[in-house]
Amino acid sequence: MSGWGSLRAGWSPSLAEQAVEADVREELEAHLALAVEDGLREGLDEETARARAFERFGDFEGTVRGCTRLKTGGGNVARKLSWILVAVLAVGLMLAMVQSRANQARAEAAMAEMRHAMAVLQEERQRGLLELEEQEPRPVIVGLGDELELVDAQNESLNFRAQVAGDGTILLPEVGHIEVVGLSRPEVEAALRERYAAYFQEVALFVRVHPAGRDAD
Amino acid sequence: MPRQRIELPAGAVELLVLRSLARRTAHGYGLIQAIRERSGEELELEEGSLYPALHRMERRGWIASEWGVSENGRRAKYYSLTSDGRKRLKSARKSWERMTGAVGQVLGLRGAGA
Repeated sequence: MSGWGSLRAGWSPSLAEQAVEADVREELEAHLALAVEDGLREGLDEETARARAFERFGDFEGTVRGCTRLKTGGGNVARKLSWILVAVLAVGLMLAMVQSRANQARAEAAMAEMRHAMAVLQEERQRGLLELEEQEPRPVIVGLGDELELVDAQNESLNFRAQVAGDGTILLPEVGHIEVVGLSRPEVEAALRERYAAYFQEVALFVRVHPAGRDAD
Repeated sequence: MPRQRIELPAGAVELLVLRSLARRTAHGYGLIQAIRERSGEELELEEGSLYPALHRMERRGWIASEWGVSENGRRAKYYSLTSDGRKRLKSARKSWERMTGAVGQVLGLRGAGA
């Protein structure tokens, strides 16, 4: 039986209640029949006798219903009330589910908003890093008066400092003057390595430029 | 011209039915006739009051019913008094006598409360 069929069956009188109603109806119809026969014995015609019997009886169907309720103990009413209760609970459950879904939707919307904000932050952070990466370090150009600090872990004799003279050169041991003014740090390193390559087997020379008037580059 | 029906006080229908069934079993129509006759045509129970009272008393176990054949050869439901019904009749009768006696005294009726 479908849910709707079950509901209709629960709402309509049960077989037992129908049997009780039929029993009551038969009893009251027998009462009317006796009343009609009394009328006929008094000399009334059948139509008049029936009319009088029904008039004296009053509300026939109401009496049938009232007696049926009394005999069934209001079982049908109790069942109807139970169905109403079930319906109320079902509606309440549905409302709770709808409310739960609404809350879930709100939570998902908040999460999406948070994810979006995090994505924006991430994007801005990455853009900032790129901008930083794109900023080329300013090339250090050797100028007059700058001091060059030579560092070579392989050759201890190449660890010294030399100041750029007024002619734009530095004086290096063994190799003499070499012009460095106007060169960048890598260019100075390349020139020095080239010069010392003839004197040392392995040159691992690095240069740190200390511009004039500053402690570090 | 038909006489005006007497409005019965609460509990009167129950008492009349129990008393009538104490004499003999009867169907609903027979009970109405018996009460009418014994009251000198003064009391005529209404069907709308009698039948609910019968079924209520049957539920309470004061009367019992069974299908039988009436004087016209039709099926009819006959009611009879149970032992619980006899006890109920006894107590209801005492209550009725006290009530009518008290009311009679207030009204100054002769023989009331004696």
